[in-house]
Amino acid sequence: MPNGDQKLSTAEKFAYGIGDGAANLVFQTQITFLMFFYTNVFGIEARDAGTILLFSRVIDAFNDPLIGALADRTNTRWGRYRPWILWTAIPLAIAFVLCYITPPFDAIGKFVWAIATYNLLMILYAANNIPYSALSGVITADSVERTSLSSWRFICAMGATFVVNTFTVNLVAHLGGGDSKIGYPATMTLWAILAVVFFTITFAFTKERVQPNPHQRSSVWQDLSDLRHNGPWIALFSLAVLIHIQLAMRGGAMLYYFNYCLHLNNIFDWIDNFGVFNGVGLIFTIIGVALAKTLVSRFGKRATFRTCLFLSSLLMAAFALLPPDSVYMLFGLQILLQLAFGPTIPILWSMMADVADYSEWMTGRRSTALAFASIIFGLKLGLGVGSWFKRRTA
Amino acid sequence: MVSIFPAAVLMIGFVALFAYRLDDEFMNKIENGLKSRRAEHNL
Repeated sequence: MPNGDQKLSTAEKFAYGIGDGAANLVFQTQITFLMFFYTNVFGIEARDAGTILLFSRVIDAFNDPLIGALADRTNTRWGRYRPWILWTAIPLAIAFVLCYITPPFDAIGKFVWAIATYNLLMILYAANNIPYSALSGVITADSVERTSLSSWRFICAMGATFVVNTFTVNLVAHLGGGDSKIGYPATMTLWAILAVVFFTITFAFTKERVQPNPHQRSSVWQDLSDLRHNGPWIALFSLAVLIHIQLAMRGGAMLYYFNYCLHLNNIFDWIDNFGVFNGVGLIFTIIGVALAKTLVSRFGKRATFRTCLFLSSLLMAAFALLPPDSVYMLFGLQILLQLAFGPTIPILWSMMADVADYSEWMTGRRSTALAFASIIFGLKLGLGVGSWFKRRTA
Repeated sequence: MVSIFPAAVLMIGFVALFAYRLDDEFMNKIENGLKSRRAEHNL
């Protein structure tokens, strides 16, 4: 198909977005509940659980670029990236449920089971999510439509985050009849079935329109070398690392801030305030994400990103100036911060696809999934460094 | 410190963004270049 104007229907944008809703039914559960499950239900030490998660990050460093390179070299009648979403849907769902099963093993057996199932899940997650991310770079060649597509993606992801965080605890208690060893796998089976349905919708109702040159032949080393000489990729990689250092530092630190710096006990109990604070933040992040396309159409992608990043930085610094009992100013600042930061989320991801375009324009070779995978690695690196730094400064 | 460190990191990101050259004008040039190249290959 000739590469003309490639405006997308709302249905196709939703079909794409729901795929990240599916991924976040899995991912958010891991972030919020897995550590607690390992230590309080499964029965391993917190130190061992930490080792399992750390080991997985090391595997990611090799796995992510490998998946990216393999996806770029896939060639089927359904395209390059969509088949990965379909092929991995059921194995990912099974691995997800296996993570929450407690086998009747001794301590070593349990540790081996946990490390095997968690890493299987993370490998399958990457095999699903990297091609999924790369798909946004080939559904349309229109740079503004990519921002809209990424906005849909993050709105669905945040919807899934809300569902998981709101309903998991009650479902575990209800489905397990009070036994968490039954409740957790039962609840995860429910999320897993939903995820498979959503992944199938993404596969069925999206289309890959941007095709690389069919005569393109390049090695993985050549593709990596192309990235190394790609200036915008270097800038975006650095940006992904820095933004996620900041997110990791801010995420956990706000709990300490509420606990030790603010004196809000006379208004609400602090943990209620913190829950409301996060809820308000999520709502205004979603509004910010939804505004991204309008802002990009009016001011351009780079200028919008730059302005939003600058404002976010100033607003974040302003938290330090707040008096410890000013609850309204605190919430006002949170609303402004999340509104300013929200548009940067989809713009960053749509820029990854633009970087792949730039590379193709410069070299004649296109490696969309590797461009995404390498920046996703930067994102994980940033989260790791930020968490380490947070522990040092908390 | 809770907010100053993350704010400082984000400000470094803001500075790093100046190295990102793909503004709208450049992206239009790239899109058009790729469009004609793909048309040559009938894609």
